[in-house]
Amino acid sequence: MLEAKNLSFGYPRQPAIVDGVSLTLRPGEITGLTGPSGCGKSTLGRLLAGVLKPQSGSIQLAEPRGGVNPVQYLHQSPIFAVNPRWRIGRIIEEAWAPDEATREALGVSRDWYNRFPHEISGGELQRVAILRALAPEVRYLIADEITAMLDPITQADIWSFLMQRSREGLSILAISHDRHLLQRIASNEISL
Amino acid sequence: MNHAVAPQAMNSLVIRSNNRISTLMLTALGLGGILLVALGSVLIGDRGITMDFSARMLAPSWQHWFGTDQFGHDMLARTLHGLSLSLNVGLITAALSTAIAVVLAMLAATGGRWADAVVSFLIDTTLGLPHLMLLILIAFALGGGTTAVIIAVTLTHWPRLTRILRAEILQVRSAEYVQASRQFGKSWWYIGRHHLLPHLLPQTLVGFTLLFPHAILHEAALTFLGFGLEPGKPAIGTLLADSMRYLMAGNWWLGLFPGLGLLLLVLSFDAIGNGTRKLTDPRLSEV
Repeated sequence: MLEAKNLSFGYPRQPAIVDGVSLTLRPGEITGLTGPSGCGKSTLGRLLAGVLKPQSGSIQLAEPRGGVNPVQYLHQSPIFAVNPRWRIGRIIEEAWAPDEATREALGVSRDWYNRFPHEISGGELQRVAILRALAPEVRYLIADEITAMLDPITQADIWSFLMQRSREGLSILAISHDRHLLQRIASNEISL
Repeated sequence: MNHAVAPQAMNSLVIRSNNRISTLMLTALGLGGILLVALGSVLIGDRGITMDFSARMLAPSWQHWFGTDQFGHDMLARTLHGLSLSLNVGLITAALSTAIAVVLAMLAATGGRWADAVVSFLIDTTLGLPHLMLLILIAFALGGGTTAVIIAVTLTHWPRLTRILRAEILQVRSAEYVQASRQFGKSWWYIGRHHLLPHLLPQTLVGFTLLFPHAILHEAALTFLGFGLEPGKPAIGTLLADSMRYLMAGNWWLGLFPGLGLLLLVLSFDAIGNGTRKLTDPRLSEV
């Protein structure tokens, strides 16, 4: 279980963007997070993943943070989240060596392993980024608008895979503007 | 219908194979030209240094391809000596400048706000002063000669590369894929080795190669103006300065061939630098 209490974070000389937010992520649940642009959804996601440090408040995590972080953050644009000079195979295996079943369930083809990130499509790259983030140690996934730029079929594919993982125990925070998507996938919803 | 499709398919095939191969060819050609100069000057030995008054001021012929000067020196041999001298000076200055650039860029990007401010101030100051003026000033203050030229060119050529490398380090360090790498539990040592270095190495190599022609041209300019290498040495700048007196008399070969040689040497380095850049970038190399 991941428990965040009274989290606050602000950039220098600006009012706090995340101000006293508390939330709990439980195993096997998909939590929806929504709110207007610029209200601090992504910042909150980064705080939970440990990419940013909160200025006040606390995050309590049952799992240890050493090694592969059990809370993984996924970006909206996967092209920035991968090294443009690395090939896909190396990108995925930086985190872990995925088993064939997971790779095939996500629709990541072996043929891509020898290509550079700019040589596969955005949807394919997002599948690669998700596969990379699903190392065995990972218990929580912060999915920050991960399907906002993708076509409906890819979107449905990815979310039905993630819902399957969630039923197997993965906890997901789905950040999105898309209320209809959140209604379909999330078991509870938070509005910022 | 076959007619309409075939030419287009062929066209795209030609373009596909062309870019990478032609870049490689051009790079090899540049490297060949530089090796030719380096080897040539060693092979000809004393030719072009010893005088021969029976062969003064000869126009280009089969015996003397580039003609001879007022002392009967063979100009081809002299041009080769001059280019090889430029090559040596260029190698030393480009290496020193690159070393300064790498050290200062690392300092600026990792040493905190103050280090960054100091390095940026140094870059702006050096870039703000007129290049040639600063070169002449330093070379003159150090009393001229080869060492003075090397120091002057080194001290004026580091800022541009420093700026590029500093920006590159800052950009890669804050990139989302480096953040992701941290999330996978990788150490900063791993990130420096596998994410940062592969980005910096080609940049440094290209910067080093493209510094060469600058250094060579500025060395020649300094020597031409009389602030550079000793007059006795067959440097390209000296050859060009000497030729000025005879150009009016119609002895065009004294100026043309050394100048052309310098131009080709500079273009050779340019071809290598640009070739390296294109071939090491996955996006550019596969266009």
